[in-house]
This record gives sequence, structure tokens and C-alpha cells, in this order.
Amino acid sequence: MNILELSIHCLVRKRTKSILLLSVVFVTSCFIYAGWACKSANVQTQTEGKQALGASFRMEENEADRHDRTAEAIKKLGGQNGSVDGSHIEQLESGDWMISHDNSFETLQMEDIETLAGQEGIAEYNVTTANIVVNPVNFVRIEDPDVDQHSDLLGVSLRGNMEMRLDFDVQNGNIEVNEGRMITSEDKDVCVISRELAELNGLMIGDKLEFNDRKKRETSKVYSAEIVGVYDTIHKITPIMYGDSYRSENIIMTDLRFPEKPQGCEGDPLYQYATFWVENVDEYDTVKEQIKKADINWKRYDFLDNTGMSDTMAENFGDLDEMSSMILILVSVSGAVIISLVFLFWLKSRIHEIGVFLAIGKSKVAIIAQMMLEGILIGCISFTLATVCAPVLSKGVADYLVGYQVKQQEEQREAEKGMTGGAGVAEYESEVVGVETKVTGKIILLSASSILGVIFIAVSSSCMLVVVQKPKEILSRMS
Amino acid sequence: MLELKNISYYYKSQKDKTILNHVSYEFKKGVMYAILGSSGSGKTTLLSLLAGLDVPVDGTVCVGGEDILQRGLNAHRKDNMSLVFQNYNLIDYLTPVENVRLGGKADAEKLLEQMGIDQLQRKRNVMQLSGGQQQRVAIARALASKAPILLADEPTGNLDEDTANEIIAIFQNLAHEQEKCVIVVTHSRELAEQADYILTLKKGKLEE
Repeated sequence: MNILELSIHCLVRKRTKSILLLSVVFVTSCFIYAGWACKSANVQTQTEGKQALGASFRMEENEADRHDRTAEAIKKLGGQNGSVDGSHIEQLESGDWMISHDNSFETLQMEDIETLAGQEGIAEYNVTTANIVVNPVNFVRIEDPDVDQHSDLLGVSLRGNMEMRLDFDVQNGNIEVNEGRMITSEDKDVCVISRELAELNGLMIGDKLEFNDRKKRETSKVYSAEIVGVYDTIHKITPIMYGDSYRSENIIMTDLRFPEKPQGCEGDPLYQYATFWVENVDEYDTVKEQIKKADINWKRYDFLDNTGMSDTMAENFGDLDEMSSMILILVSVSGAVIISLVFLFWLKSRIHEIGVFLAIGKSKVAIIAQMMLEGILIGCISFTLATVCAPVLSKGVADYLVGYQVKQQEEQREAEKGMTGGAGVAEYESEVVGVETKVTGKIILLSASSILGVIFIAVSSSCMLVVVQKPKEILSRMS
Repeated sequence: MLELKNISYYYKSQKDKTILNHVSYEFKKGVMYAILGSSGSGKTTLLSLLAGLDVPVDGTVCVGGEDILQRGLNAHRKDNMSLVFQNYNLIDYLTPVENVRLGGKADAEKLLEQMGIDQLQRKRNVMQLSGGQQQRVAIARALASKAPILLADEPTGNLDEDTANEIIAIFQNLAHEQEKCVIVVTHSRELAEQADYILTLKKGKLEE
């Protein structure tokens, strides 16, 4: 009678113990399967997530260079009133000096932006103006009645974008255009207003809003922009400065070249940010290095990594990957311990059988081989059953883990809501609906190896009981 | 056939208490031996040494002039020995036929038939048989190995008188008809008297 026959007889005829062991190995197999599937799904989602969110660079004015250029202008004028290179210097009656700048002094240079946008690896870019306060001519702004408005600029903010869909507050989910449409680079003299402003003034899409220079309200030229959309505020944008001119509902999105007109600076735009998205996030660092070689006046700009959310996502999914690994380790170790204990319990009840085998001349190796074979047979059946259940279970576990991570992200975002308005760092909306878990050949192979490993460790450790004992000791326990 | 050469045995934790003290004896084939002794006299220890389940502290156990340690204890138990126990020691999840097949490649059905186990009984779980039937299955398993030596430890201890007599008759038959060396360890003088030789284990010595 060979060990295969003996193993099969033992498993089939000792049903209760076999079913107990089968259940334990089955549960362990399922979790090992789920662990591997989640780990695989994490990697896939992490990559897809990063790609979907996009990694980008942001260009803005360098403050130190601005200071240097101002100092240089003062030097050029030699202590006299006057204007040079976009800087205006005037001595007040009090003896203090007042320095003001044109947009041309402050703005990012469009030719530099376009040079960077043309670099290999850049998929798209957006230019955003500073929030420019202008006077509302044919409508009223939203004001807080409890706030003294004397120190306010008494206007509304205009923010121009080359592509409104790429504006940081749109990307970050702070505002949503649910009526009409967003502004594109093809548009001219158009705007998108807040729901609150539209309701207060009874404005509709197609209406025209009029603005002029807040410093010359009575005399300056009036410019009009057609309303093409109405946005809803999801998270209020924190004002960059005190006063109702900058309050969330009073921010009006326009095409890129509109804000400069009612500001009284037509032809002299004030581009505050330029953002560049890379084509392939995996090549982020390569593209970054490539861009740094571009021939522009780098001294004038700060060039910032803008991967905040992408990195957060990567970190979160990294956590998820870690959690999957933890599950795998925990399940493998606890599975091995539990299976060892079940086997040990089983072996203890089979001490009689082991003694008989030893008495009839069977070697310990053959006895252990039989136990191992029994474990492997149980493992094979459990693994087959687990393979049937694996897709559903893996999906369930993966969804749970991803859901947990997304919830954490949501909470984080909730805590940070509105913090990106104006000069804030751009972040990008992320939405993970679920994770696709596929039980591939590789996962089956990894899971099978893991389960076999667990069974091998469990049986080997419990069989130590057989190895360390002398046949006489076993037989004396039998009598 | 089976020879004890100057065997001594004591437990390492109790070195002052010698269980077997320079025992020498030669068992011959075709003879049934009975080893008598009171409880704790070392009967089971002697049986373990003969069966290769344990090794003596001093001296050697030889089969056909060869030290069993040289051949290997597993090989000794497999090829030279067959064992019959008081509590039968059958594998509880196997049928009588399967239990006998564990012993060796001999025709299990034929052996069980010789032992008086009918066809229906042969296919039932071995634990469903009576004590006497189980002991017959155990003997059939011992015979399946075709080993020249049969060791039996209190083989009739759990059996009624009639069944015990039947088992003794089988042992006598094995010794006299099949030329096996049958060694029965017992504390029953009645059983011992049916053997060809009675050996008594007393104060660590084996006396004829």
C-alpha cells in the first residue's frame, strides 16, 4: 500500500478532521489570493491614478529677482522721480518713496511660457492671470452687510485662464460648471460667474457683464464680457486678501486676455502662473531635466514641482500596497500557525498510527511524506475552491481597501478645502471609483506557491513531533 | 537465528537500576518461546530490543550473525520482524484487507481467510470487528511481511479463553508448520506452558 493510497484513505475516511483542515486551508488560500490580487491591483491603480491625475510643473515669478529688478530701477533713476523698465518711482510729500509696477514688470513672459510648452514630453499647459479687482458696472457684487467696506477695493475679481478646465480651482474640485460651459483658448470677452452672483443679479447665460477700472470708475472705458457659464461653489475659495472683492462668490472667470482691459492695461497682461502637464508621469524627472535646459531667463522664475496630489495618491496607494503586503504576511504567518496547530492536533490523535507504522518498519521519512502528501492534497482541493471564489473575494477586499484609502483622502481634502484659491499650490481632483482585480496566471502561481509554502512549513513544524520521538516512546504511549 | 549477545539495558536517568544485565540467548527458528516475568521485570524492554524499537546500552542483537544496527533498525523491523500487540494496533481508518496489505505484499485475502475472517468482515472497517477478529487481522498483517521472526506482546491479554486458545494454536502452527521463530511475551503461565520453551526474566537475567 503506497503513501498516496494511504493519504487518500485517511482524508476520505476521517471526514471531520479533513473538513476542519480543508476549511482552515481554504480560508487561508482565499486571503492569500486576495492579498496577491490586491497587491497587483494596487500597482496598476497607482500607475493609472498617477497618470489620470497628472504630474505637472508650475512657473511663477521669482521674488528675489523681482526685488533685484526693483533695486536696479531705483539705481537707474539715481534718486529721481520717474519710470524705467515697468517700475514707477515717486517721492511723496512726506519724503517716503512710493514704488509701483506695471503688469509688464510682474508678468510671466508669454514667449518663455511657449518655449517651455514646446518642450518634448509636455502634453498641455495653462496660463492663469492674477486675480484683478475691477469695478462692476451693470451688476452688484455680493457683500457681507456686517463688514465695513471702507477699506475694501469695492470691486470684483477677474481671473483669466487660457483653458478654464485647467484652472487650479476647477481641477481641485472647488468649483464646478453645471450650467453653460467653460472658457476655452478660442474665447474672447467671455466670463463664467458664480451661482450666487447670477442669482443676486438675475443674470443668465448670454447676458453681458460690464466692468471698468476701479481707480477711475466714472471716466474709464467700460468693457463687457458675455456670460457663457455659471459655476457652483463646492468648497469656498479662501480669499487671498481681506475684503469682499476677493470673496469666493465675487471671483469671475474670464478668458486670458480680458482682465487687463478693465484694469486699464489693455495690451499689458499680468500672467501669474503657467502650469505644464507632462505626457507620461513615469518620465516626469526626465522631462523636468529637459525643461531646465530650455533657453529662457530662468533667473526671473521659480519652477516648482506640482505633484502634490499625485504624490499624495502615490503615498496613499503605497500605503495600500503596504496594507496588502501586511495582509499577505499576516495571513501567511497566522495560516501557517493555525494549520500547524491543526496538524499537530491531528498528529497527536494519530500517534497510534505512527507507532504502528514504525513497528512494521516504515521509516520516519515515509511517515512524514504521507503527512505532507495529505497536506498537499488538502491544499490542492482548497486552492481549487479558492480559485473559484478568488475573483469575487479579491474584488471585495480590494474595493474595501481602496474605499478606505479614498475615504481618508476625502477627509484630508475636506480638511484642506478652499486652501488652494489664488496663490495656493494647485492640486488635482482625484476620483477612484473602484479597483479592477484580475486573477491572472501570475497571481495563481504566486498564490499556489504561497499556500504550498505555508502548508510545507506547517506540516514540517508539526512533524517535528514525529522526528524527535523514538519508536519505543511512541509505542509505549500506545499501550 | 536471533541472538542476544551480552545485552545490558538501563534508563539513562536511572543508571543504578539495571533492567537487563548481560543477557545472552539464542532463539532458533521453528520454535515457540514464551518469556515470563512479573510486571516491571523488563519483558517489554527486551521485546523492544529484539524488535529494533530501541537499542541496548551494551551488547548486540544479531540476526543470522549480523548486528541489527549494521543493517539498520528500520530494515530489521521490515524484513526480520513482525509484531503482534496486546491492543492489536490496527490502523483505524482501513479495512482488514488494507491493514494486512500494510504488512507486506503477500495475498491479504488468503491470509485473512486462513485466520478465519470471512469476506464480509474483510471489507468492513477494522474497528467494527470483535477483539478476537482484530487480533487475527493483526496476526495476518504480521504474517504478510513473511518475516522469519514473530514477536508477540501479551497477544491474548484482551481475549476470552477460547479465543486465546485459538490464537495460541495459530502461533504454534506458525512455529512448527511454517518454521518461524515465535517469541511471546506474557505474564500468563497458562499461555507460557503451551510454548516449546519458557524463559523467565528475573532481576535482569533471562533464565530457561
